[in-house]
Amino acid sequence: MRKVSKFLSLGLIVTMAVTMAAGCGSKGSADSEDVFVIGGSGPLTGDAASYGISVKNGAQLAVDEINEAGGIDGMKFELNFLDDEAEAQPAIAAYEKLMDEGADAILGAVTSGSTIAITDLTNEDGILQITPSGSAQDCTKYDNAFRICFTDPLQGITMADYATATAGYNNIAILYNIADDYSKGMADAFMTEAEKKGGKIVAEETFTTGDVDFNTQLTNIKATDAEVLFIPAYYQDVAYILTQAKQQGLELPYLGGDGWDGVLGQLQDASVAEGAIFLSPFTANDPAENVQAFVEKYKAEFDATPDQFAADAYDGVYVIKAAIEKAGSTDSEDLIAAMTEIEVDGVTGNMTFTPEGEPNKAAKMIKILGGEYTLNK
Amino acid sequence: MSDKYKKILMVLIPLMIAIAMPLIVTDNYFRGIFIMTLIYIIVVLGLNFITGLTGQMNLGTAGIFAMGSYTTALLSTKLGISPWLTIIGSIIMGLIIGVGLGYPSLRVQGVYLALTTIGFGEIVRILISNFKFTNGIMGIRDIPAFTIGSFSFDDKLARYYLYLVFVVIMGVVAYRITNSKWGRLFKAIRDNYEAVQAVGVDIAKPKVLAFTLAAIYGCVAGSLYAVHMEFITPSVYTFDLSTTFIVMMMLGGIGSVPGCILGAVVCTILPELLRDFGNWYWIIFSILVLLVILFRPNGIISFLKTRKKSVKEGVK
Repeated sequence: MRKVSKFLSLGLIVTMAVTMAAGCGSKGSADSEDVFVIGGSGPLTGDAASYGISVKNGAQLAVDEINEAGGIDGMKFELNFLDDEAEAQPAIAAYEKLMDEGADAILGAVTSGSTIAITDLTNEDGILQITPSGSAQDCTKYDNAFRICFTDPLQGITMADYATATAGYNNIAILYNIADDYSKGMADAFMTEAEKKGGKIVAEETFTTGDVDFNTQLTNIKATDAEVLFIPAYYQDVAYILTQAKQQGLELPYLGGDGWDGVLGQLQDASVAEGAIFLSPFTANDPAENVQAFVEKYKAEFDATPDQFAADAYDGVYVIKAAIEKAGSTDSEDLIAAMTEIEVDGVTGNMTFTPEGEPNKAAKMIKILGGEYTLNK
Repeated sequence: MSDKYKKILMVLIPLMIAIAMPLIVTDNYFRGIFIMTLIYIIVVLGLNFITGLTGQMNLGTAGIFAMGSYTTALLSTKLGISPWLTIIGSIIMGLIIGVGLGYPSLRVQGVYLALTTIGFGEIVRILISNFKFTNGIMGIRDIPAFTIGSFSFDDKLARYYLYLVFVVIMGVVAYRITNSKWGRLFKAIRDNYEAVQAVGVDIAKPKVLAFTLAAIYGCVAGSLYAVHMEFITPSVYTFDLSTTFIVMMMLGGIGSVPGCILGAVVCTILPELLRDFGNWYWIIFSILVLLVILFRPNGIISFLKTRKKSVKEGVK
């Protein structure tokens, strides 16, 4: 038995050593003349994996379409997408690996924290960086960085305008994640703007990442004369909140940000979200021709309905294509300069870009009706 | 070959590999991982004092690591203090944490101590997530690199060798302490707490010292991490990170300085190499770890330790 255990143990150590030695080899660069490598990173494992997988799939679909159409003057696109676990350190490691493997532009990261972590590096390297969904203000701190989605503050301002000016609510309750930059950024902007527009924040309740019991916060909100509840959070949290609100008999209209996209998939009873309105750049039920074509292709390829993350990434690849065509070059400096001169008719809307890296496009209000996402007219 | 030469070789060979590795593997990606390995070695060497040698379960190492990182980040970005001097700040922070955690630890043991240290780690993470001056969840960016005159260690290769010097110094100190009277006292407390008390040894001092050493090592590593990353955020310093440090120590060889180094190397590099397996990579890594722990409870390092002849064999 002792011998067996010794051999087994030795085998394990040899396996580990060989794996480590084999993996440390330098990979050849994919940087050939007629291939433009788009390097991407996002969470492919862990709690936020659904976002990263959607981004990877959306980007891959766009790359395949462009290549099928002959690329750009014969130059093909290639997507190299790595896992960053939605954390800063793996995001930096992924970025360095992408650069070692010859990335020509960066489509990433997916989450704000990871995006911010790599912006200093992409700026130092002078490479074009487009984040499909990094919505924190600092994601586009440098001239080389752009985004497809809306910023957290812009979402907050837009929803505050809608709540006060369009819907005419005066007394507003808010419930947000104090430990999340996305949620807090949107909440802060919303509260400032709502009060500017004459609205009154009658309840400001918070929770933290990992919380699943929201009864205390909902009880406090119920005790106020709130006319609407704004929940700038991700759909996993929103699902818990809406379910518990119904159990408590809290019957308020709900408003949210783009993190709500996917909430129906989390709910056992879709009726708890009935009538809720949230801001999103995309809905698969948008009747627009280009949107429906994208949805059909995505469903055929990945056997799933695309969400806003997939749509943002899909548009991101086409933005890179437009920048290359405008610049007439694949040089990073030229691509960055071309970004403010292009116009792309994407599935998330017709967009141009400001020198600050922000997209100019119309926000869409999505209303949940009969267990479906519909465009709020 | 005499034991003396064996010992010298046991130090020289790994050191030569460490010196050569970033010259052989020139990818920035792997150099970055090698730097992270060096940082984690320092943390685990510190953790070894308290958990490996003294037998006190510390599950709040991420909190200590965070305090070191934020000390350096805040002093260098807000006050413009040189990163070199912030390391002294981190050592002082380590002393404060060591005493602050060490004395309460005298009153609790086992699972209660583990819970206390988990609480400490979580409190630190929540505080840095919510304080304005730490920039909350957005973290701190633009942390400056180490410099000597006009030379900056912002190049990965230069930074790697600088951090290797830190590891060598702190490794030698850890080894010397482990094999000193203090080290023997730590082990005695771990192996027979009551017996040590019974012979009239004051166990308060060694326990607090073990905590303080662990905190100093953790804080220094945190400083090096902040400078290396240039950007830190509270989401890094989770309970998961604390357990990772424990796994590193157990996998390499609990209570052993070379074991801690080996454990940190394997646990940092191997998961990166298994990344291509997607969702499977943690499963593969976890199975490897479990098998090593099952078949080699004393860690990977036990392969390198020659089995001492028994008395019977000696008589024969």
